[in-house]
Amino acid sequence: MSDYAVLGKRLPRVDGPVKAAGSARFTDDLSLPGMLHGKILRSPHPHARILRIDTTRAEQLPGVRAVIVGEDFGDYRYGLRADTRDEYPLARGKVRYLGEEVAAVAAVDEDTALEALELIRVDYEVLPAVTDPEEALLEGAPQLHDDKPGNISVHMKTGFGDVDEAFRQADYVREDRFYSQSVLHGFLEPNAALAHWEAPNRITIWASKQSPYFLYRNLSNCFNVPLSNVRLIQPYIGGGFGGKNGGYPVDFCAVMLSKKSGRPVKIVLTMEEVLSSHRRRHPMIVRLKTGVRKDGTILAHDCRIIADGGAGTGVGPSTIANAFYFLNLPYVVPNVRYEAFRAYTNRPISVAQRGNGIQQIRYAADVQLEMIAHDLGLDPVRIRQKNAVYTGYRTASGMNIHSCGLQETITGAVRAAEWDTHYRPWREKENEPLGRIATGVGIACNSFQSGARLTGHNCCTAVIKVHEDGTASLLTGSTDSGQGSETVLAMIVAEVLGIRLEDVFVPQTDSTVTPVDPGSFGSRVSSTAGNAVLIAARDARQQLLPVAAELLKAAPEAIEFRDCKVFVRGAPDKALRFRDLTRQTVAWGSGTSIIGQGSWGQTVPPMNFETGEGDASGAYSFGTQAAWVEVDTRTGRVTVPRMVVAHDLGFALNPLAVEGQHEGSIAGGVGHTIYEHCVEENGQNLTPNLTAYGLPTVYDLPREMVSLSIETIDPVGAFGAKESGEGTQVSTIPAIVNAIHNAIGVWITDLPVTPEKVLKALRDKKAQAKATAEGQS
Amino acid sequence: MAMQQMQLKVNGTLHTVMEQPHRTLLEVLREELGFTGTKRACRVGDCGACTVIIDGKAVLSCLTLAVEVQGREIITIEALGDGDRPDPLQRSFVDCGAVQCGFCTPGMVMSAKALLDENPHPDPDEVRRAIAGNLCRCTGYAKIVEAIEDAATRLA
Amino acid sequence: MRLKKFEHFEPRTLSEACRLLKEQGDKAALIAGGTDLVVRMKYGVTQPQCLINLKKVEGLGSIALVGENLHVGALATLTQVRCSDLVLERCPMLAEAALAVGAAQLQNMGTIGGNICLEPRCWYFQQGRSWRQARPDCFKNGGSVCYMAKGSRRCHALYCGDTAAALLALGAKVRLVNPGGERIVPIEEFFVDDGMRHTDLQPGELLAEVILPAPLPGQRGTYLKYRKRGALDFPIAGVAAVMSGTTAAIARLRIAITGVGSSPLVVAPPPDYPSEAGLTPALIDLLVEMARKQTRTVSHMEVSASYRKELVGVLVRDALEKLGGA
Repeated sequence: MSDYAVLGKRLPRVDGPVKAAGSARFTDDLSLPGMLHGKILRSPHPHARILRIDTTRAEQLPGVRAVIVGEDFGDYRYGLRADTRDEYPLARGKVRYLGEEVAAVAAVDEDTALEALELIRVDYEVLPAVTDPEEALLEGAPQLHDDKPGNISVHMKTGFGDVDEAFRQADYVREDRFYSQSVLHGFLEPNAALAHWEAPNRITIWASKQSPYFLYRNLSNCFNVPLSNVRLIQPYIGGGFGGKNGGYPVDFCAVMLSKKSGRPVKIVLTMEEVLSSHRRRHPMIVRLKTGVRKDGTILAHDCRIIADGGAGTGVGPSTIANAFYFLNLPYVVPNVRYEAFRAYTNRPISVAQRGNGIQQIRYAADVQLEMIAHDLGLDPVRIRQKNAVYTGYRTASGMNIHSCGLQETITGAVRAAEWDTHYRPWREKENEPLGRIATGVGIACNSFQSGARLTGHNCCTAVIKVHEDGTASLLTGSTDSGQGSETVLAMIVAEVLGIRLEDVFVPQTDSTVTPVDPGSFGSRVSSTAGNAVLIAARDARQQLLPVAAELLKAAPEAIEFRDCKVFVRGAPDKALRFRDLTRQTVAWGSGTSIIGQGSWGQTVPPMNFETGEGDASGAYSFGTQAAWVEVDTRTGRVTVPRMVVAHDLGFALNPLAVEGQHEGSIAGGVGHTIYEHCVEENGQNLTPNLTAYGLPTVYDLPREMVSLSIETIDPVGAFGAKESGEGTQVSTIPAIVNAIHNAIGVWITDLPVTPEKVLKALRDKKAQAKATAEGQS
Repeated sequence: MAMQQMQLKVNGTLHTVMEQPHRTLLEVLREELGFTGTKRACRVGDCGACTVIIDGKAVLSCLTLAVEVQGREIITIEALGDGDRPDPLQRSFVDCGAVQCGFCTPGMVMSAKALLDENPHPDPDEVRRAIAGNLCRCTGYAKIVEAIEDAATRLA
Repeated sequence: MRLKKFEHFEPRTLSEACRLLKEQGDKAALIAGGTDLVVRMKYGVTQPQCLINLKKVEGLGSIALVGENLHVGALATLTQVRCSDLVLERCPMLAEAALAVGAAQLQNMGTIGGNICLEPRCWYFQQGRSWRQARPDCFKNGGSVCYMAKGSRRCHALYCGDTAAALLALGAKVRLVNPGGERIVPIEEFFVDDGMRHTDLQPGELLAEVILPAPLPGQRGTYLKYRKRGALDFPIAGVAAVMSGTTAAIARLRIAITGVGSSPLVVAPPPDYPSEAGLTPALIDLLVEMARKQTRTVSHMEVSASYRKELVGVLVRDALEKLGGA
């Protein structure tokens, strides 16, 4: 075991006390003198031309201070890349989804702002809408964007190896269609922004952002102000999960309303607005053809995806690329072919959500592997062990695996799930009558990127100020939206400087103070920002060493920092207190400041959105999940009383935080599999509240969740750590769906697993068996 | 429909505000009295983030009219100690890892407090029942249930 | 998601409440726990100009024996109902039903009167203003379509009260008070199969209390609720069943079903069914079939009409088997 003083310990999170006390300030908890309240008017049509907007009556309402429409933003559009900028702060010319932002008002109070919205008159010419991605790609479909013919937002076509030859050599080939539905991020804090424009050109904004520096650049471009004048201060964030990455209309509108009114403006969305018109996960249709040898060895995947992108591109290129990358992992796939279309539809915009594109593809691939195992009479555990990738493996597409504990996660999950006791292949059970409650177990594996390697600025920077009393402040642009990264980064500082966790303070991100950072997405903070913090902490320590060496009369290399003390290795009794060292160092000569700095970026080349060749990240996590399900065979209801997550996370920097990530992943995964669904009708969301949508309650999640960390000490990540918060949700769906098959012998290839679907599948199976029997007699 | 004087007893202190009857307790607590620990999330009774305790019972402040709770004992998260001297429940939430983003936490703690005040030794089913109206996306609830059981032990 | 302005009255007596209700007419709404009304007001689908708050009406929340009957005041909260010794002793299934409502906070706030009078609902009705602008109004919002049953000339919003099923099965009566006096009616006569107006409450009339008859010898009952999630949700189907006598010789058997139509349903053995036959598998089959036949429902909440009927059959069977096994 490693000999760390702080790392690897189950330490409570540093922001826990203020959050539990209710004194942690989220955006909606802030207010400024003279602050106005903003509200947004939204489109009642999924697709329409805006003929005229009359705001006169709204402007005349007493208490209204500003009204804005699309024209106020000129031609400004935003998006991930120069060629994908297709989103507007407020609609221009057309609305492309129901709920799209059309106008906004700021008034002295919310009641007045709401009243003003009712006074804005918008004349629309309703256009035919397309809300199905397959239909959107057909000739003659209504077109969303003039410059994107055929409604193609992203198209990726690639392949490695010789897929056709592999299929010829395969003993068994099967092809299936899978569908993953529209689900939401489910954060409880609605998107919110409080903005203050100070003439002539200074913006201060408090906004709920997991990746604040997207918005910092967006605002600079949109309002034509220098970046030095964009001050984005990050309050506590009430969950993100991918839905609080970039700039959204709520942010742009708050700033524009403040600019126009000369007063600070706060906009807090309602949950109804979030659920009906904010971003969500990509629904995907996955057609997957797989060829195997009769022993289950995978020879090739041929995959075609149609993703529903909604009305804008967002981070869609990364979603589509991710689905390809993780078609290649966690199993050995020597030959692979992939074609994906991300279609524009008249629906709210699809973006990243915990797992970004990978859930959908792994649901298809891992359930299909289970189907193949069943068809060939192979053991589900052994087929996974046989195909599992390993350290030193390089995928056909060129992803390099430097550390891999996949086999250990399989073994661990199997043991924790008491697999050998509970598992009986469906083939052995299929002739027994189904009881009222049928039980089954299922298993699935995953892999994930430890920090998505995107294009552009992709490194993290940390600055550590060591105060003269022996405490330290860590300045980082990596935000903590709840996952606990603030605690983990502070632990790294404490470890290197040999001080206590409570001696390290991490102020929240403030773009004029903290270093620019890509953001908290793609599981990058612990590994990428972690390395930056490690370098910065070593830098700070280096600055303390000369004085320490002088005072201890020892060579700098022999000096150790631990337990708030500095001493010569092996002689902790002759120690200097850390705070005495800092005090002396600060006063040395004519005085100095101890400021450590470190930057670290992934060394692999950026993701290739065109070919998918090369690495998606510098390190990959691996994991296995096992689910125990109970299926009520009369109602079709599926419950998951027990779930195991075994994850190769490299190194568990804080096991308590890791468990929280694993349990939270199960929550999101079970929700996605069984409960959650944005039900829509003609582009209108019929489930714009948490009850209709079905966010799981305490009763709906596994009562027992087992979390196992497999430590492989990755050569790249900080202290060997890899991600452990997103990959862990990737195989929740297939583990449950495989367990359902093990319980009742039906495959659910269309999410969510509603009771009615389960019942229908059972019935269809019975009818089919009967027909087969009759055909034979 | 004019403004009227309302007297609200929050955390043992009587507050006098001029308000209209259509204001919810959540709005008055947050916007007039500065008790922003009570969170505004769904606003329609779907999530439990705005839970406060009135006369010993956990209720949703988003569906409660301020005008009708005059003269009653209103307890918000702010009454439960602070960062320095946390309530045992708050301590357990932190130590057990029951807090992640923290947005559901105040409501969750208030539901738990109402439970423990009435039933100091709840069984796991009673704990789950007490928080079934409080949604959390981050934790999967396991550590929240554990924290409440832990607090019950500390209080015993 | 903010309330519009209204005038607020806090009558101290029932007669004062009735008088106000009569005076204010359509402009007024009664509020007790508020968990149903305030939500509708926030969505803007109900916009009363005045609220008559029943919280301060004296004695309206009492739970007491009057002679042989148990009187439960309309203002009794669901928590009070489920914790009442009298309820637990005489008709524990009512406590079971109260416990099935929403979640703890909603039970602490919601009243039995409010739960009985719960507005029927559907996905198309209780939505925000801008949401509703996206399509022509449905019957409940002043229009002339029902999106639950396309082409229908009536509203098919679903009645979802949990306690009503228990009360129907128990043979409860309700006391309705109006400015001129009062009337006591069996609860099944109180409900109307109409999503627009689902109770027989007349202008100026309000529900004052529920009256439960003394339990018959050997009486036992149960309430089974099927919903999407384990809490917070309204029933997709809820079945209450009460039986007295013995399994071998039933004295009385009644089933009530909620969540499947605009009013709750009552299912009972045919009058000519020989009760001395007892709770046999044949009787259970018969009642399951009757319940399924009587359920005329619509597709809703990702639940088709045929699935909901099937569910009713399962719940009826489970409830009866549970009673039979007791």
